Amino acid sequence: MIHLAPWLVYTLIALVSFGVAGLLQKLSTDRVSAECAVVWLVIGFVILEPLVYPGAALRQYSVRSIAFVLLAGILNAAGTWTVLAAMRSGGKASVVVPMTAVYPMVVCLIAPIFLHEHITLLQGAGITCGLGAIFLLAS
Amino acid sequence: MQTSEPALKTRWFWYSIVTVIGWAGWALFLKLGSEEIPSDASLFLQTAGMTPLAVLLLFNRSAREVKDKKGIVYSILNGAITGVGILALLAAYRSGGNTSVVSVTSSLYPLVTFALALVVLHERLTKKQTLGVVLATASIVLFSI
Repeated sequence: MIHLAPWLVYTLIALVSFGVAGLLQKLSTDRVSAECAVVWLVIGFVILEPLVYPGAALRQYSVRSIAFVLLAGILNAAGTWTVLAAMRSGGKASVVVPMTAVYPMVVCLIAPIFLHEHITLLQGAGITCGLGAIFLLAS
Repeated sequence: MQTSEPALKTRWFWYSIVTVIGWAGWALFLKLGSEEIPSDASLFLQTAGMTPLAVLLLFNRSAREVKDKKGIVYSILNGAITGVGILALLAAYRSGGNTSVVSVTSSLYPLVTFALALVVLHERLTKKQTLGVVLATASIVLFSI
């Protein structure tokens, strides 16, 4: 019997889960509006909330950090809404999912301004590939 | 179906671009918040952050229309399976997985969607678009290293 390291099993579960989620995005928006899909998707997330409830530790974090993460959640929801709208508007899952997955490209472009980080050579190559990918996927 | 209309004139293209910008903001604020807040608590708070938009959308009539129950089931599964993926990812990091290897491997999820879309949805891409998927994958890997 093949023995896989636990971290590899978890990683593969994550890989398949995110991949299947892309398919489910298309399957759901083929049947309901993007707005309806977002509402029920968030309910799907909320179901898992008890598993990650931090308890009293929540009070130890600064308001600033909590605000950043809450804002991240709002932007995640907004991005999820528009990706579902893209599929609802006729975008193929096999095109929209890879296209939207290049979002780190924008992070790299704005990180020097907000995080005072420098763009490395690898990130520069990633940005080039990302732009090329959007151009080709849109063709 | 995706039409043969130029992408720049299609809604799906611009919605995708807005997604890229939105998720970039998500990643940026998450990075700022994660300097103090651990991943599981962060997931809890992120979901709390997602909820107001879902509540606001309920004021939109199209969000309340339940014409197809399968669509609802797929949407709930979409949220739950994404959450499971995130939890698995956190577990992978905690189980001693090399951060780069875990990040690169899990970031290849568009390839899984791509394969499933071909098999389940019978989607077909042009050669240029297929090359685009390859470049997108290369881009994602380069950012994950």
